[in-house]
Amino acid sequence: MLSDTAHYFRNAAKVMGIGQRVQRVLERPQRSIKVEITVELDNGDLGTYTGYRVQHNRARGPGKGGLRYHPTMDEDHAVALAGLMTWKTAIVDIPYGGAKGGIDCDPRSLSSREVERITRKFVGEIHEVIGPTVDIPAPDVNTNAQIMAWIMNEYSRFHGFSPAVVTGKPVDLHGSPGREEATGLGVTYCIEELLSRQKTSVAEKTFAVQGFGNVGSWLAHHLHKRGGKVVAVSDIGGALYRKDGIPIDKLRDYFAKHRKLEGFPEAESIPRDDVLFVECDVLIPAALGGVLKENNAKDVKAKIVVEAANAPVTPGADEIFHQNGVMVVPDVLANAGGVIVSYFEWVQNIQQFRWELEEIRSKLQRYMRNAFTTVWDLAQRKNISLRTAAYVVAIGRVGKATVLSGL
Amino acid sequence: MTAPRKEVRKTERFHQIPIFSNLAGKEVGEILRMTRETKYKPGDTIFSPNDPCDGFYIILDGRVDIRLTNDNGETQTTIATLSHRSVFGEMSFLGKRPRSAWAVAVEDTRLNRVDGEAFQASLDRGDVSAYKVIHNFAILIAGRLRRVEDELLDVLQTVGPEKRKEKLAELQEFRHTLYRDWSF
Repeated sequence: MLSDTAHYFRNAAKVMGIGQRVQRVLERPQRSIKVEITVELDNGDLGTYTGYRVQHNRARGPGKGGLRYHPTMDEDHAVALAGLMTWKTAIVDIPYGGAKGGIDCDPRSLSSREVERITRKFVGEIHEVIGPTVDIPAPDVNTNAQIMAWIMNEYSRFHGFSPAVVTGKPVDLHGSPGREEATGLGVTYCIEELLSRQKTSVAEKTFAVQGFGNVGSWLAHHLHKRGGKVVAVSDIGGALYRKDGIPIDKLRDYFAKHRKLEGFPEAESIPRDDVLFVECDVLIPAALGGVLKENNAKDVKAKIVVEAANAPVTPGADEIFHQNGVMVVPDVLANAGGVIVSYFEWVQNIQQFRWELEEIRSKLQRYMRNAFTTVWDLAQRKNISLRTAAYVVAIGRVGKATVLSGL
Repeated sequence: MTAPRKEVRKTERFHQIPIFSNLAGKEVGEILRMTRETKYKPGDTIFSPNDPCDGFYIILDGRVDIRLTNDNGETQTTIATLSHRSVFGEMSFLGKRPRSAWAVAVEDTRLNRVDGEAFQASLDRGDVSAYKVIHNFAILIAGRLRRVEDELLDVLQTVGPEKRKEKLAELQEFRHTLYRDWSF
């Protein structure tokens, strides 16, 4: 996953014929900081953790990217993921650079109060290098709206009332309506754009969705709402299949009650990983990275793969899909809905004015449509894959901002 | 009779070697007693990096390349090609460190190796001949240091702006690429 971004970036840079030095300028992070976080744990022990924040590129605007709480978090992860954010924000043309960070703690083994203390201590260490015009964190793996609320509160103690320092806040504390469904809805808009270019629509197609978390469940909901047949879905415990389409609204109610897909009466149960290989038009991996690899890519029957998760298709599998005529919509484009609505949240915070859900949805659609159109047209014109085209757009926008700003 | 005459011929020749300048014939003879003559074929390695130091060498005939390897040890760069009357291997002897470079014969080569232990013993005894050689080394190394300083100045004055120009040219080219070939 870490090297994938670098691989695709270099691929695009090669296609564009960019020199080594400029490549290096674009690839290297501008700022990386590491802080020690020491807190008292509930049992009186001393907990020591390391926090990271990397600002990869701020040529187009303040850094933007998630905070991840995970034992494996380190500087290399932060640098790679911050780079991905630089390209993603450029592709959808929101005025941000890329950033990422996190703490090497395991929230599952910590109490809520411990997580709060760790978070506040972390903000105390990094508040001078983040801010509404500098670097704006957001939720990521194992972080949520509550943690964002603590960050906003702690940052505001140093700098005064500053809701725009962080996005993904609770709707009741300066958060934005529509933030929760944003990624799934963005993927749906992306699919609509693609299908409209093939003179067809969601209502005429069948879909398989791997993963039923925040992204997968909202995505299935919006596809279903548009008349699309979601024939297969999966979660960590298993998969469901129904040839004429699963009733997604009933499934979402069932899932909300039971916290699992297993046992849903109106679809047949199939082995979990079969969700990737069922007969369908569009396959949407919306869970983990690296699920479609060299050894299973040829078994995919769908003609379109949409990367709702980050890096679900490995570079090896990407090559096989290319040879087999399977179109891949890359993650940097497909799943950018989340960061777009994060941007809307930031804008609302700065304006101190709340938008209606409908306004947010229509603006999200406009941003996804513009991004898709730019990438699609470039891919057609230059006869390159959507992924390469997306990275070319990213390099183009970041590059122009860099040369126009001057050294 | 033959032996002394041979030694006289030898000392006469050795007088022309810079490290033996200002040494009396007798003193040159003292140093020569610590040497052993060795022959190398083209391509023969005389010493390699990290070899222990066994003294220093005087080239009687032939040519020797001094080569350095880059950081990853893959490629060798020749930093000097030495010939008749040159001395090499003195850096590691004086600095009391293992060899830092390669010495490779590039043609049929005859060398005189001055034995390090014997020469050190002579210094320890306070022999004037050995101290005169050390004095000559100091003069040689001062000259070499001056040349290195001049080269360093060149690098700082000329190569710097050239590199910067190259970098700026690349940035200009990038700008053209973005606006000319890859507009969207």
